[in-house]
Amino acid sequence: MSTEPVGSPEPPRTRTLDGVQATERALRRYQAMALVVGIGLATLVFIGIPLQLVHNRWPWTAVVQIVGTAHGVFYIVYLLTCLDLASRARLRLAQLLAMVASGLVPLLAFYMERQVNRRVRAQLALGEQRPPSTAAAVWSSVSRRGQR
Amino acid sequence: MSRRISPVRQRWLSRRAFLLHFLLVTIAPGCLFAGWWQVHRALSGNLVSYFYSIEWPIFAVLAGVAWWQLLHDEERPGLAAPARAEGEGQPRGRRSWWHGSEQAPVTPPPLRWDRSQESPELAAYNDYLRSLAAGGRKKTWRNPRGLPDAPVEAR
Repeated sequence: MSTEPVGSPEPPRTRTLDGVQATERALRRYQAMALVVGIGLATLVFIGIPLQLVHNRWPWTAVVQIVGTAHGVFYIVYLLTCLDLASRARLRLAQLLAMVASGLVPLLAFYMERQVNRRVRAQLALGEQRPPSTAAAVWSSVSRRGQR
Repeated sequence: MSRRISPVRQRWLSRRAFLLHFLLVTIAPGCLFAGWWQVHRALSGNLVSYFYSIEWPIFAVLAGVAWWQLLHDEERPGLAAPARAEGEGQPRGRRSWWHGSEQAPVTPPPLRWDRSQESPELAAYNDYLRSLAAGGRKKTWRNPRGLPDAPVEAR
């Protein structure tokens, strides 16, 4: 015997995001981590390694040891956000691999973040139901820029 | 023979899935090998290598997570799978490599008119067309101003 009243469904307990919202949040997380990883790698390569090349002992290697370790940790988080975004926005595998590589090549992260942002925003502008032939995504981004 | 491929085959044996299997088999052992190399460097006195010998196995685990996630990504909330090219409804890369042509074609959803994409001129012209369709005068064969050479008093 059930004591629950019949015909009064409970309101949903958890707040669920639809596809567009979930993808947009994944894009924002990816953008934040791309900024962090890009700055970290640029600091490491353009400041840390020259200092280490001057003198390979403690105070000169501080930047490499601290920023290098921090970049390692942030890069793991960055990989997770990349995977999340690529899975939600249905990016190509080549695009995901390029995003992964942009955490390893200095200054590539900034360029890649702009590319991915433009691509995913164009896809989001088309909505969840009618997406993404490549031609439609390109056309949407071009025509939007033309209006401004 | 059924026209549809079983979902299991489509998930695990499509071209994209084979590419994912290949990447997993390549990347994960590579990361483990690099981790082992960093363990050796750490034991020979390199302090930062203690951290790297933890980080490389994490990358190997991440490769496994990514492999699983990308094989199952259509179950997550996100955007719909992209079409292969303009006018072609099949999802990209989800075809099985020996049943490539047997998949039932997916009909693309109908196009919707998006007013936010109109230029100002096009929007004005569409408004004009709408006003004509709503309240325009009926077309008639009779010239409302009369014949061209008719006298003015006759109107």
